[in-house]
This record gives sequence, C-alpha cells and structure tokens, in this order.
Amino acid sequence: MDITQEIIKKIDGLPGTLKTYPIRDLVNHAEKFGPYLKQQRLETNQVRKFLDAINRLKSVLAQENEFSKIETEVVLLKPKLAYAAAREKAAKPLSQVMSKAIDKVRSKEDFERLVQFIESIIAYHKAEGGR
Amino acid sequence: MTSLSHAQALSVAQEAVLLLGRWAGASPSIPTATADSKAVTQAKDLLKWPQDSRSNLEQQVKPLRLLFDDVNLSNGQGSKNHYWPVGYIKDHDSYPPIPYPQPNADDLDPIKPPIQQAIASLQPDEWNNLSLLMLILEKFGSYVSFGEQDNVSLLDLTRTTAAVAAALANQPDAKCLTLIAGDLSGIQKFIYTISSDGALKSLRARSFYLELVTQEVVEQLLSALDLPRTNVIYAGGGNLYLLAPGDEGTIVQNKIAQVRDRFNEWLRKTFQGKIFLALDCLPFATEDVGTPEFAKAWEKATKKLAGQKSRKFQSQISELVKPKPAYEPCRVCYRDDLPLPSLEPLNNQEADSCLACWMCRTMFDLGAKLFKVEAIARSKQSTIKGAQDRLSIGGTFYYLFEEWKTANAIANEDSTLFLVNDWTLEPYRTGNAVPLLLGNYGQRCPESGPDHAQPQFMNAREMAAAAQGIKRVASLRMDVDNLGKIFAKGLGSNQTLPPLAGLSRQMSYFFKVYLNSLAKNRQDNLPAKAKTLSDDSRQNLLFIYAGGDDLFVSGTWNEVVEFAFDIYQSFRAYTGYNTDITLSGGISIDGAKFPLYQAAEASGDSEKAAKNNGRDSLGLFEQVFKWDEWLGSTSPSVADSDARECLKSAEYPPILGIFPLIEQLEKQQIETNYARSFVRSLLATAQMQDQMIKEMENKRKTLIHEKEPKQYIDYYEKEIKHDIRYYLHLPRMAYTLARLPQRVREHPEFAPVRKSLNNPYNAPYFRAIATWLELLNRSQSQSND
Repeated sequence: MDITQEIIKKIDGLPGTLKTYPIRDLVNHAEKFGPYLKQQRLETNQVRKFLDAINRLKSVLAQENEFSKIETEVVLLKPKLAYAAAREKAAKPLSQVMSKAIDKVRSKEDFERLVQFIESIIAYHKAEGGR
Repeated sequence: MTSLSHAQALSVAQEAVLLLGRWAGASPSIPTATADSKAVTQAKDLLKWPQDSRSNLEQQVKPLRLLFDDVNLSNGQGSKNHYWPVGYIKDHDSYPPIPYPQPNADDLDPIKPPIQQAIASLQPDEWNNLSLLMLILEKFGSYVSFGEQDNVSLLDLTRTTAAVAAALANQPDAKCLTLIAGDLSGIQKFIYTISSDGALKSLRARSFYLELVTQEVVEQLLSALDLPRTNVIYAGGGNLYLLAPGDEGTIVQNKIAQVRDRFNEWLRKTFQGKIFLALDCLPFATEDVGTPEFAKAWEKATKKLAGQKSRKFQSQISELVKPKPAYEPCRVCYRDDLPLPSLEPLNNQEADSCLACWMCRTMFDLGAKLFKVEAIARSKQSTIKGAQDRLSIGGTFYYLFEEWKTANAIANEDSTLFLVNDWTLEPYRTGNAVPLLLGNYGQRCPESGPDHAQPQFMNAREMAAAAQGIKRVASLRMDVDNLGKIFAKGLGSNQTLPPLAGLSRQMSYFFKVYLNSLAKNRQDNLPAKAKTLSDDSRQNLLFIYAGGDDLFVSGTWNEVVEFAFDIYQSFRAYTGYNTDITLSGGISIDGAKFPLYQAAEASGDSEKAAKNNGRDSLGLFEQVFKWDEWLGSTSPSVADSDARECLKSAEYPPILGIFPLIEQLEKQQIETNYARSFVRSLLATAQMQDQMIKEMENKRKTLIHEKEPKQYIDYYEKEIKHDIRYYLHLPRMAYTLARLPQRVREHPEFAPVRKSLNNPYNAPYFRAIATWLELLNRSQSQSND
C-alpha cells in the first residue's frame, strides 16, 4: 500500500477526531510522506495558498483562543487544496491526505494536531531537498 | 609518648612495621620486643589480628581485595571481584597516581625492595616515633591486605587495633568504649555567603581555615583525653569521629563537654554564632568493634548530634540574645557588630578597596599565601619567628610555612607539625610531624601578581578569559550518593571497625589526594576507557573544597565540565563500578563578575536536582540527566520503563547520549557561519520542545484538578507527553540537519550522527546538546559582557 493510502486509512480508522491521531504515528507517517512528495516533484509554492491560510488561522486562534472563530475557515481550506491539486498533479497526494484530516477537525486540539501534521510533512519534505 | 595509651598504640604500630619489614626481607634492629600487654592482646582479639602472624607472613600479607566490591545496598553488586594494583606512595609524590582496581591480583614482590629499604634504615629511637611508623604503614600498607579479611588493609587493621588498644590501655577488661562524634555546622554559611573581589581566593582560604578548625577540635580532644592520633577514625570537612575509653562516672563525657563549651565560646565570639560545634559521645559494648553493631553505634552517635544542633549555644544563650549596637557592616560578610574603626580596606594595595572586618581581611590575605603552604605548625606559643602567617584557632596558634625544613627548625617540642600532602619519610623522622591531606589543587596565573615574585592563584577573570567559546567560569559541586547508608549498612555482616575505617579512608583519599592528581595530570590519571571531549590538560581549575565525600571546584567553564566527567568516570572506576556507589553533581556557568556565593547556590541547586533525579545524575545547563545519558550509553536502559515502552517500535540509534553527539559534531569541522545557524536552529527546536512539554504538563495538571476521568488523564500523560518529548520535534531536527552544507552532510562520518539526531531516543537531549554547542562555539565578540 502506498503511503498516501496508508495515512488515509489511518485517519479514517481513528477512534475519535483528529486529536486522537497519535503523534508518534503522525511523525512516522510524515517521515515517509515528505520524501514521497519530494519524489512527486511537489514544491511548496504549489501549495502556498494552503500553507498561508493555515498560518493565518494559527495566528487567529492564538489571539482569540476560540475554535468557533476559525471553524468555517477550516472547512474552506479544502477548496484551496482541491484547486492546487487540479493545477498540479504533484499536489494531489497532499490534497487527498489533508482533506481527510480536515474532515476530522472539530476542536482546537484537532486543529493543533492538523498543524503539527502539516508542519512535520513540510519539514521532512524540505529536509529531503524540497523547496 | 609516655602515657599508657600512647604506649599501646605504639606497640601495635611497631609490630605492624616489624612484620611488614620481615615480610619484605628486612631484619631491622628493634630496640625491645616485649610481650603484648593485656590491652593489646584484647584489641588484637577483638579485631581478629592474625594469631600466628609472626610465623607465616607470606600467607598473611596478600594483595588487597577491593572493599567497595562488598558494598551492597539496593542495586546489588553481584559477585564482582577486584584487587588493588600493587603499589605504594613514593617520596616526593605530591600527586600520586590514582590506583584503579583490576580483576586479577598482582604479584606483591616488586614492592618488597622499597619497603626493605625504608624499614632497614630506621634508627633505634625512630621505633618510638608513632607518626613516623604510621606514615610508613600509610605509604606501604594502604594497598596490601593483612589477616583474615583480604579486603582490610594492613594500615587500617593496624590503626584500628592501635586505637582499640589505646582506648583499653587503662582498663583492658572494660566492657564499654566510647565513640565521639563531632560536627561543625554553619560551614556553608561561613564559606559561601560572602561577596567581594577576589572571592575565589578568599573562599578557598575559608575552607582551608575550617579544615584547621576541625583539626584543632581533634587536637584538643586528643590532648584532653590523652589519646594517640590513631584514635581519630575520621576527621575532615567539619566532621570527626574518635574512639575513646569507656566512660565510667562520665569522665570522658565531662572532658568532651569542656572542650565543646570552650570551643563554642570561641566560635561564638569569632563567628557571631554562625558556626557551631556539636560534639557528643556514645558508649557502646567493647566487643561491638568487631561486629556490625559498631556501624549502628556510629549511626546513633551521628544522630545524637542533631539534638545539640537544634539547641545551638544553649549554654551561652544569654550572651547571644543580648541587645548589641549595629554598626556599619563589613562589606564582605555583612557582620555589623564591630564599630567602624575596626573595619579596614580589604586590600591595602588598592585605593578603592571595600571596608572589611578583621576575619575577612585575614581570609583575603591567607588566600594569597595558601599557594605555597607546605607545613603548618600548631603551637601554644604566641610568637614563632620565620613563619609566613599566623592564625589563631580556638586558643591555639597555627603558623604557616613555605617549607617543612624552616618549620622543623623553628617548631619546638610541644608543637605539632602538619605536612600538607607529603609522604616523604625525611620530615617525619624528627619532631612531631603528621600528614595533613588536603584537596588543594589550584592553577597559578600565568603572570603571577603585581610583583611577579609571588605565584598567585588564577582569579575568575583570568579563568573566564581562558575558556573555549563563551568567556565564562563554572562552579562544580559533587558528592557521593547515599554515603550515610553505605556507612550504616553497606557492608552487611562485614560492617566492623576496620573495614569502616578503610571505607572512610579510601573515600577521603579519593577526594583529598587523588582528585589533586586527576586535576594536575589528567592523561596519567584517567581510567583506561574514559570518554573525553578533548585531550586538553584542562588545568584552569581551583579547588575551593575537596575532602570527605564532596567537593566544590571553580574554573574555566569548559574545563570544569570536562573535569566533572573525568571525576565521575574516575570515581566509578576507583570504586569498581559498584552500582551502589555513585556521585551526583551540579554545575552552574556564570560570568566572571557573578557573585560567587550565588554561583555556589546555583550549583548547589542543580546538585539537588540531580539528587532528585534518582541520584547518579548531573545537573548542567539547567538540565538534569543520569550520568549514563550524559556520557552516552550503549543500551536503551537509560530511558525509564514508560519511555522504553513508548520507544520500542523505534530503531536503536548508532550514537546515544549527549557527550558522544557533541564529540561527533565538534569533529565535523562545520564552517563557522553554518555552525552558528545550525546551533541556533537546534536551540530553537529545543526551546519549542521545552515549551510544548511545559504546556502539556500544565494541561495535565488542569485535567487532574478538574477531576477528569483517570483514563483520559493517563492517555494524556502517556501518549501525548511521551510522544511530544520523543517524536514531535524530530521533523524540525531533520530539517535543521538538512540545511548543513553538502560537504558536511555527505561526509561518511556524518551519517551515524544524522541518523542518531533524527532518532527519538536522543530527542530528550536536544536542549543540552544545543546549549553545549552554543557555549563552545560562541565567538569572543559575542560574549563581551
């Protein structure tokens, strides 16, 4: 099974929302997924809008400290990913995985876990030489 | 040497030296060999002195087995068997090499010739010189066993037998003996709570002075009770234990009380109640010296002191609570009971030197002179010419000399001459000389003082300047874990007087003698497999105190750090890697102008943190880990069981631990610019990790506070806290490593480093690694503070 499917399966099978995604699994997945994305020739600028949006939500949440303030915006991350995937084939695996993860975000803790996941993937992607 | 008790001790010492001489093949002419007195016979019987010792010497004198092997507390040592290498302390060996135990016993023959030589040359009247005979035994009999127990040295068996014989001198059938225990409290206050220029030197002088105070208490007790020096079982660092005769009609008790009260009167006047002498005694059954009951008496005697300590200066209370006028305080120790005229400039060489009391001025002056003190004469006389300096302690005077010869020529009959770390026979032949062991290593400063004539200890500024990377000094404090327990029950059924004396001697030898050697000659004194970060000789150190079972050392930060690792590895090897005998330590790293008393406090705090980490740990860079984690372990057992469970799916890294990773990263020769940014991102990663762990810790506390279901809390604790500590920051680490230049990344030696840093096992060490590298590589321009 390829890594994209493995992660999707894991997220689907989580006992609860995204916060129940164990960090250890998350990091181990990212460690494989990052280099895989690099191999698919994904560059960060191809998902820039998505990353920017994540960062913006992060800072809003840090200020407001209330998940309801960003809840709608979180859902709107999905079309951003779909748009990137449509333009660049290389963005598709990331888009698939992230959409699954976003579906499971219900609370602040879930969103924090989502951020940890995306940051880990990007770190390993860059470590592999991705830009 | 006329009293009965001295005669008993002397006869035991004579016999031991005679036996040693015969064994080595010397036939000394001993003036008179009389039959044992009743007291000596008793003592020999109690301590199992070999009965047929004179006939089959070859079977009695054997290689010494390691006493530490028999120490068994909680961890259990298993059945290790070590022997001390055969050897003796040579003349002029101020820094004798540290002996390391080995699995096999050496042949003893090589030490026979020097023993022969030393003993054959003894003159008839020298056979009556107890301290000379004891020195011979100390030189040659410290690492040879004698008698039934092959882990008891000839020296310790002789010393304790002599002590018991002396205590029994007047009453060979006495059912009771007395153990005297003493303790100077307030030492920390006296030594460390000062603030001034040149504090390093003063501190050292203060600790030296207190060593003499301890010594003076011992001297007064010996003379009050008319006992020979063999009856001092232990004295150092403010603690003392003496063996005295049984106490019929509380004679001994009264004499002890007299010494104590007189001394406390002096202490109160001199130190305004900061230092207090607790001194008490405990009668115990005579036969206990040969059974584990003795350890219980020892423990009880120690505990008894607590009562006195909680009622300090009881007999002088009215004096103590009298209202006294307060004057301008001394700028060094802040005592304020002296009218202004008695305060004078601390350093009269400097125009703007602060005003200090006489004690602080004395200590300041002493600090400058200590470097060269070789001999100290103790005398009741108030003037002796030719001495460098004079200290008054408890009504007696201590004269400091640069050379024993001058001292010897001047000192008179009633004076005692203490020779600092000197095992040369010559000075002990005449007069009343005794060795004084002192952990006293100190690095001279390169261009010695203003007049260039007098060598000086390095000061904090010079120490900082000599540092690698950041210009800082460090303070190191360390002590042996569970020492009380080791002495109370470490040896089990073996816990009798001679092994106990051996244990305390070998411990204090390490801190007073071998530590000097380790500081002075690093390469010659490290154990075979020691890990070192650099092969620098790291001599920029100053011992403020070392003795008993603890130490306080100051110096150039990177050298102090290396020294701490050297000490630990050396001590573990010295004690046969017994898992029950470990050290804990703490280091604080500060700027040269940081008040030393605060540095002492900070290093004390990090030592405390190390003790709280289950001991056997080091606190450094505000982190605490087991020594195994710092030094790098070859097995995953360093992590606690929870963590191991959490990590079991992870691969074991090629390099584990802080020290080996620092070593490898230092080896990579990363160019300065890259190194700087690498270290910075490493630090950032580590800080984020800390922050996150702290947040989680708080969350967990809130959950407990809100009484959430236990399951939920457990889940939080296990899954999240562990996962955060070990996993969450691995991606950032990978990214940081990936940004190093290609040349470094592709170097074959770098592959295991990279793999190891990307491994969850090493994740708890990120901050320590980052901080250490940061300090080592901080360039000079950045650290001008």
